[in-house]
Amino acid sequence: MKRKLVFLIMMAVCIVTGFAQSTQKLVRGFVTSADDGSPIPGVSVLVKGSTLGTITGGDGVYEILVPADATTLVFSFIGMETQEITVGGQTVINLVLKSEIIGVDEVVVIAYGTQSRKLNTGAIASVKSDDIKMAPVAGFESALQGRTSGVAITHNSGTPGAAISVRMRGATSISASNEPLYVIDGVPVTTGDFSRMTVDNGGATSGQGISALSDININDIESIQVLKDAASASMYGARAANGVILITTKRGKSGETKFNLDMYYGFQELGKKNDYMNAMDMAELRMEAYGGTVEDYLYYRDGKVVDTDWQDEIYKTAPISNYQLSASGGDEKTKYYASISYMDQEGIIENTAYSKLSGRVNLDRRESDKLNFGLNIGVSEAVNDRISSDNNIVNGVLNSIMAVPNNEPIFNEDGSYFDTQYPNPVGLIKEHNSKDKTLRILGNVFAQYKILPELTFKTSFGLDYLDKFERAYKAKVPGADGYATGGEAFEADARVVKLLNENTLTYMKEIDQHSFSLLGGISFEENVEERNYLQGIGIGDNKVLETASVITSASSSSSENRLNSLFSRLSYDYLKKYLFTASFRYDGSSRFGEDNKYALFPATSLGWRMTEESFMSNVSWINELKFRFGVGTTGNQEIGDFASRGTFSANTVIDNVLENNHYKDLPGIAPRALANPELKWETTIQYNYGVDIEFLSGRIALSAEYFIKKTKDLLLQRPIIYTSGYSSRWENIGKMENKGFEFSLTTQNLKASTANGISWTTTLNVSTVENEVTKLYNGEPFDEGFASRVEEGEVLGAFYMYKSLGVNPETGDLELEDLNGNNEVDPGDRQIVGTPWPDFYGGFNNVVAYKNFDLTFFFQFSVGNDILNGTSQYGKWMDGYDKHLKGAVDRWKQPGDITDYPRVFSPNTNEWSTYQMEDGSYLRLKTVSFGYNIPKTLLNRVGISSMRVYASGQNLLTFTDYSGYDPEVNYNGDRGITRGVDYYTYPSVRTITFGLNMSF
Amino acid sequence: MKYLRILTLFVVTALLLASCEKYLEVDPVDQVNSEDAIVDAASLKSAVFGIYSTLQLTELYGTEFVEFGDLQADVSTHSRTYNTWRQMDNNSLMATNLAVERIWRNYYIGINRANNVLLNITELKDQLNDEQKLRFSGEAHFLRAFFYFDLVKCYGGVPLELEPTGIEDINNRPTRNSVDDIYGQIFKDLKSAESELAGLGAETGRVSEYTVKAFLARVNLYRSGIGTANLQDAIDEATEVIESDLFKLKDNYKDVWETKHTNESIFELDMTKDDDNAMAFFHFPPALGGRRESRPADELIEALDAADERGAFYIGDYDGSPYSKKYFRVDIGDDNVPVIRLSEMYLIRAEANARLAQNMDLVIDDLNEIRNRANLEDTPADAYDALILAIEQERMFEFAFEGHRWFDLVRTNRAIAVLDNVTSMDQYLWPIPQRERDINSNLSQNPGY
Repeated sequence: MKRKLVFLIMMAVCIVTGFAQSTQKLVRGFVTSADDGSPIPGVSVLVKGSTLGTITGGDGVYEILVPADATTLVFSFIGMETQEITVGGQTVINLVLKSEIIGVDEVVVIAYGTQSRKLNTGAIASVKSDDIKMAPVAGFESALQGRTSGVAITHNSGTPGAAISVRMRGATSISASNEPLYVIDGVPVTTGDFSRMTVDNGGATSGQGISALSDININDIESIQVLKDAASASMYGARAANGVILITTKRGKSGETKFNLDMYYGFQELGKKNDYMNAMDMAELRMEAYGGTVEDYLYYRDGKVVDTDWQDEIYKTAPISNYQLSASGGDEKTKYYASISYMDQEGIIENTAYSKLSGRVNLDRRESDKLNFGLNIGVSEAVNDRISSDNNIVNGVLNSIMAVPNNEPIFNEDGSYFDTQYPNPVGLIKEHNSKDKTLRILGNVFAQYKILPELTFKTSFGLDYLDKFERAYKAKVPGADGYATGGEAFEADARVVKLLNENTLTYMKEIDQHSFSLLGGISFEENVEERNYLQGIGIGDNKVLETASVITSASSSSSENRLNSLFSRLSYDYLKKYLFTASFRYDGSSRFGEDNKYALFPATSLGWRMTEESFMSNVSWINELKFRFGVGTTGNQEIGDFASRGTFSANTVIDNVLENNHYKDLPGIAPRALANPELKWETTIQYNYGVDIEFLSGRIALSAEYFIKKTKDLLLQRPIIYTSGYSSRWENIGKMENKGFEFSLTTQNLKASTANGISWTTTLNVSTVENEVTKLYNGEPFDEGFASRVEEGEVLGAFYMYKSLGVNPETGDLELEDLNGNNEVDPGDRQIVGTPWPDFYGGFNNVVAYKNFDLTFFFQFSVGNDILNGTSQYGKWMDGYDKHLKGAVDRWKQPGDITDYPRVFSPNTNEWSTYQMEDGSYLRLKTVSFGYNIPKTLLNRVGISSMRVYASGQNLLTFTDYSGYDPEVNYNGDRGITRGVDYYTYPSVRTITFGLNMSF
Repeated sequence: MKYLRILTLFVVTALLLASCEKYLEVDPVDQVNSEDAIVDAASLKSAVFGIYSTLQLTELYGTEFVEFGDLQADVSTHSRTYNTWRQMDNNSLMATNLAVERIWRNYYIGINRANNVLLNITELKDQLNDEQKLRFSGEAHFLRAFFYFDLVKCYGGVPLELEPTGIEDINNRPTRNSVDDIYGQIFKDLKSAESELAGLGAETGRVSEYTVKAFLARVNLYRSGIGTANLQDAIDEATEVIESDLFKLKDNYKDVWETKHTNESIFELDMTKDDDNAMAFFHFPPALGGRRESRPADELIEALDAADERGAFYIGDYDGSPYSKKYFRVDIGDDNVPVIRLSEMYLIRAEANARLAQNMDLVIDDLNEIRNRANLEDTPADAYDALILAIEQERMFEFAFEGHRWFDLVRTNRAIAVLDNVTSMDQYLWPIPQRERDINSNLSQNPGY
């Protein structure tokens, strides 16, 4: 009986199953990516309302048995928008998955780990490779401009490979660096300018400076995370006060090898010409100033008046191109990504260029369930040809272009260079020669071992090796350095090596609804910099130092610093609703005073995801509502390796120039710096309040932040009374505050219902920052550069100078306000008249897709900042010496004339005043890109899985009242104080490129 | 097993931590901690050379201080764009003038170097032999006096700093000492130097016993102002130098510049290719590799006699425009700077005697010594007043581009009479730098600024 029963039941099961089988059907298809049309492996395909499901294979193909009563299939993949498709009568469902606009399950990279974005409680902005790849720029920071809130990015100049200044949430330091820390795949990278030429051409004035970051290949970057608040950044302790930028490079995914070929070719040109007097205008001005006749001031060539447009002679249209081939793939055990890339950029000034050959290999090996290890390594060789510009009146091409009047010819009758008023710019670009080559090796090896299922140990060894070899030649051009010396050449070598070891333990545990993650780590880092320099004169025709007849200078220097740190972080959440993080870092640095070698940087943050509360479950139009609060401290130690020491040396730094102390070629020593054994980190405490909201199934997403950053113990090169024999000393004196709002709004204005529909997404970010210097030594203000002031209660680097009252119609004099009422112009009349900081700035991006077409247009803006147009000073000095601005044609000539340009030899034109200051606000169409995806049906026949062709333009339009070349200028870019000054700076360019992205 | 692994890990970590303190000990290789810097005779000698090296700075005898003595007067005139120079040329200085600030700063850098040496001589006395002790001390005393002399000429009374600056001193806010205080210290230091260097012999480019005497002649002449005190001292010191027979006027004026360290130089600042004397660069026209920031003044060119070999030597002509070429090594920038020459001793003695209305024949002989060497006839002046003016003009020709003229006209209160753009004695002194007064409110400003 029992057996019978069992038998019957088994039969019944079989029947039921058989019945069921008979009512299922097979659905298949393949899933591709909307981004590049490539198949996506690993997509989850689920029958809605059941547990039945499968995933796509390496070729993106799936097959699934669907019960007859099932109506809908759900396709989902991390980072892609989940789609639900009604099955109906279909048996083949091919699908294109789009990247998620606001990733609900997006993963963000954080210090020493990753985290789900929805559980993150910090202020982190993410930029994906799609937004920046193939941007026609050398440095990736450039491509970040305007992409995220809270980060103000300024190109210091248009020099190819030029340094870029990045200010995250204002400025936290007066004298030390304001640049963020960059961490690439876990290695804090060497940044800065190691070029001797930058130093040689004016010391601190380095708008033409270059950046070590441009060695990083932009197309190898998978994502960039910008850690803005202390809760996110304080894990990097003493280096995190200016924020941290984490860069993750691309890694292989398991599946068949996928090749990508990306290339573009394009042209760059000068964005805008300056308007100068022609030869006749200048001759008339000079006649008015110095007497004689117009003829006295004109030159003739071939019977015609010389009217040389130096801008036309120097600027040219220059090509730019980039080619990258990458391969990625792997199996369950081993994954790889490898790439090789070549970028070639010519400058819009002849003899300037930047090229970079780079390669990368990233490997991951999963040896067992417990052990995995891997390698990231990027190698590049960059070659940079530069000319001298900014603030260089002896060899500066830019100075000559803007100061030599059009009256002067380029050549003498015999074809030699005409001895122009400043070194002949055509001679300089044709004959001068400066080239530096940088070899960069950046990478790490790592291994990870699961000691217990919850406990993981990770160790990594990192290297950042930079070797820059530089050659420069100053030619025998009249007026230039090399003229009297029979040609001058130098060679310089800088070798900068960072070694890093990091060890972490991570413990992760879930108990009921409580999730914990505890991280602890220790790291060791050493940085060694070694340089040498050789200079000679009397150079042969081949323009190299090897032929020098006299070696006039030879020197070498070296420096070293070390960091040793302990760090820990606890993350906790309950029901993924209440979020808590606490962390600390304990940093020891060789740079600081004996009494303050170590410091502690704690941080904590809280989050509440209100949408997870039961009372919110009925509010269906809000998908996500999260409140965040964080507080923590970070530090800044960027003051040089031995600033705390009181030392003697063979050289003394005076006005940023190294002066030797020897006499009669015999050794001399002298005091170099006063000691400060108490010298320590600058400490910034930052409060961050944030809210993230998503409406309408994520079609509208808004993030808003408010932050307050208070920096104390500001490392200040405190001016010391000169009668001491010193000029300044590093001290922890000052205080500064930054506060501001940041908004980031993403809206999906049009959402495609089918793969061929139209979609349009807009991202707008706006940031404000209010900067205030709150404490200085004894409240004493001080000035730097031309007219930049540091004063309590004012913004850092406020413009402090005379206020111009304009031109007196009766006398034609430029009048300055007599603030102290003593009837004369004296230093007491100077006042704060402007700010280099904008009221607000940001970016506005639009991505439109329709069928196979895509269109991106991206604006970037800065409003409310002033520019001190130093370049214009001599152009409206009204002494008729340098080339004058075209506007000065309308100078004052007789009583009653109402004009902005005073009479010839007006007083006060040589003083810094608002006469030279201008509104620097601008709105710029930064990028426009139009692309077309070639239909797959055409491509599949030739074995290509996707191909996109595009045209793209950079800096096509700029709306501004600024009269100089470009409102985005910062000639003294590496200094915190002298922001917003234009001084004979290489202008930025307008670029148009045509490109191709292909995968196969 | 698991726990063993964890234990191992912690032991390794603990070991790593233990090594940390040592890990952070990094010392610079190109700098020495102050307390280890001057420890023996060799390092003390380097520190003395460090004091000399101050004078080589571009703002001091490397160009500007020398230049301004001519630019403020009628020897050279500004011809390019530097605002700092323009103000000097116009005698319309502002307290913010960077050159005024940097010269102040650099002299105090030198003074601190000298003070460091003097203190260390006392501390190292057991490690030094007598000659080292005396020579180093004499050089430091002389150079400190030299620095203060240039300061007092330009700024009037300045704070007197006689001890090296330590970290405890940086909050000091000194007031200005009187001009008398400064001269008092200058004489005191020079007297020390004179006795310390006595009999130690000379070395090119370095200060000797006779450098001190010659400089004392100069300081005494300045100290006399328009009066007669100190003039006899000036005569005595000058005579001692002249009669020492150690120095000779070169047959050709130009030899003093075309050859380094001639025996006409009583103190000649040595400049090598690394020291970058920028004078030639700032004088030569662009076509010859300079930037002609200044050029010879018309007043000088017009006053020079056509026969004067000095003018023929130091005034060049390029394309119809004059330029000064007393310093001409524009390629390497290693022109030495003769700071005190024998010819100055003759002219000091002549002027002092003339102003004391004594020894007419010697006055005329001394003056003619200089004139004849320059291929000029004997002076026609035959009265003390006329001789005083003739000597004034002779000094202009003899020391053109050596930075004397402005200070000569100021010390004799002749600047208002001679220079168009000087209308007030307030212009005789430079302003105290604004930057310094911003920090130190105890510093009073000179009248007129």
